[in-house]
Amino acid sequence: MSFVTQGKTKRLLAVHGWAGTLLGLMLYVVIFTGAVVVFEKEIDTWARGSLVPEAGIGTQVDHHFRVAAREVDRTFYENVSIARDPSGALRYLFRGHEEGPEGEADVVVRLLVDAETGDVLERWEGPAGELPQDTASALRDFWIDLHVQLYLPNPYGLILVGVLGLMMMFAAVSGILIHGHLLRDLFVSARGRARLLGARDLHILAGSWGLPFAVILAFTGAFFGFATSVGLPAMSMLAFGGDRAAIEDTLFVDEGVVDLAPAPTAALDFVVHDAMTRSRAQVSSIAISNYDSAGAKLLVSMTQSPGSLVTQVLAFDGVTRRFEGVRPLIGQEPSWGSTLLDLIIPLHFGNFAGLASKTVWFGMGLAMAFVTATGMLLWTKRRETQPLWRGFRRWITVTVWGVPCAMLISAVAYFLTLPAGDPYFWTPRAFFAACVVILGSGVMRQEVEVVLRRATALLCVLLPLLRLLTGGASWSEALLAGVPIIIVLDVLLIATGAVLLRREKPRSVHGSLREPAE
Amino acid sequence: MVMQALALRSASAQGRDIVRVSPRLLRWIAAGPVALIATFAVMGGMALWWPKGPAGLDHIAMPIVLFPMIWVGWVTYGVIADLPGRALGVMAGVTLGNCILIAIG
Repeated sequence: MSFVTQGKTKRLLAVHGWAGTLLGLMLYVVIFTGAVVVFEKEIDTWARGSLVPEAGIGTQVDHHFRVAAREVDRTFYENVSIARDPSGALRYLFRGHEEGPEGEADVVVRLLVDAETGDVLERWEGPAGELPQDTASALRDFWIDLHVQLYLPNPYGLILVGVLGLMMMFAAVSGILIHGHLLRDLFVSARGRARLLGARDLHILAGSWGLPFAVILAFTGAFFGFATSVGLPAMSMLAFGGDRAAIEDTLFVDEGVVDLAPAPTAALDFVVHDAMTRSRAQVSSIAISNYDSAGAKLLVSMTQSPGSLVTQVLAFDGVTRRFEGVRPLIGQEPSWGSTLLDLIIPLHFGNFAGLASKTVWFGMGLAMAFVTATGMLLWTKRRETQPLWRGFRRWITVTVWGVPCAMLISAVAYFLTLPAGDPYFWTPRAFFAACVVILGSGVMRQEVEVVLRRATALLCVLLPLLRLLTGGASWSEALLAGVPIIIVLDVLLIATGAVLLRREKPRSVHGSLREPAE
Repeated sequence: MVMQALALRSASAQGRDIVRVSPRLLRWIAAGPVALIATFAVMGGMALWWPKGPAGLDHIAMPIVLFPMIWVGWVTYGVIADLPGRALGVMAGVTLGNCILIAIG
């Protein structure tokens, strides 16, 4: 059944194609990196060779925390948090304010404490903005940065990715309206890869199945891009006369006047047990406002509980241990806004059902990247008589294969520089240097696609070996420690490399578009 | 007189040409900048007419959350509307209405 007339379809198709083509290359980068960083936790565990099974902060935190807190000045008790560091240690973060030459500044004391013995492994104190990054997370952080803001400075990167999200959403909505035979398209079969119709069929097939997913991802992605960079400032200007603090007080809880008289904070172990009983999940972190004061509050963040789409944050009185209820993401009472936000997060990250949902999100993300690439290739194929479009077509092929290849090269740089301690510097630089080389070779060579595919395959196979050679955990160590994800990712990389190497001729929509249009 | 009549007829024909060409331009304006302005206007206006809800924040959170949907809605309307001039008028009307609300509120 057709939803729109032929004239409307023609107009929609024109905007669908032009919008997709003009921003498609950047959209492809965002979608592909997004599909990969669905596994951001797993990638981080694999890259750093962490042998600490993912768990909460444990149930015995009170004693070690109190001993450590005694060594920190009370001025840092304003905001305190307890969480598990990726290294396996417990991380205590004490935040306070200090008067400096340029006014009041946020200052931080960070302690890394052995979870078993309570020994302080590392102490760092200084301005909040200078808190040292965890070098072992450089690879994950770079890939996330590439997805979230294309490694551009804030807020430009966020706004650009937000615009791409809007474009993707329009492409998905117009796609629904254009395809009058949506149900039939769900079951269309490809008619041979050597024909344009075959490539078009593949585009429609992947696009039709992925439509709901595309709408969800585009909507949530556009929200993440615009919410803080455009939405909040715009709303504060339009409805709050530019008063940013007023809008933040409305959305986030304003505690008002807090009683700062000294009073011992409740036993954290009791609160942890209470929270675990209530939500049937582990405690992932505890945030304490005004520690050791009469006005202390405890916010206990939980891991995903079985059968739940969202993670809970439980509020307790910091002195009496009284349970005050489940704290919404924004505000103090449940609301439509908070419920929608609660849904947006798991729907974008795909982390609501562990590895199963992440795998589905990863697969659908790759399908969306495929739809973006095939859409651009179909558009340029129809215009290949014009030299400009022919040139652009080459750029599409180079980008499609170049992005995974450059990401793998950034991983190589990460492993090589991790022992020296500066992967934050080298990982992004290796990526962009690889991009320059790949784009340069794309301009000079006709069949660069084959070279890129082989390079990607080789890097996939070699990366697990490089990880091992640079001090990463061995498979036996990973198995004994109960962290099989390291082995799974190694095997997946090797298998991907083997599959890519096995194919003599590149299987791509570029290949399928060599025959004339029907 | 004859010259004036010819000049008038020529001007009238040019006017018709402009009218004939303008729907596409109108459509681009409607689906492009006007759709964006209308989106921001609706966002700002929502802070005044959307119910605050039990937590007293829905009128702030919902416009921010719904921003992408509002924009896509306006753009799609601008593209598929049979009469782009009417689409432009509707968007301008909604924008004006919300701007008045913001100015009063």
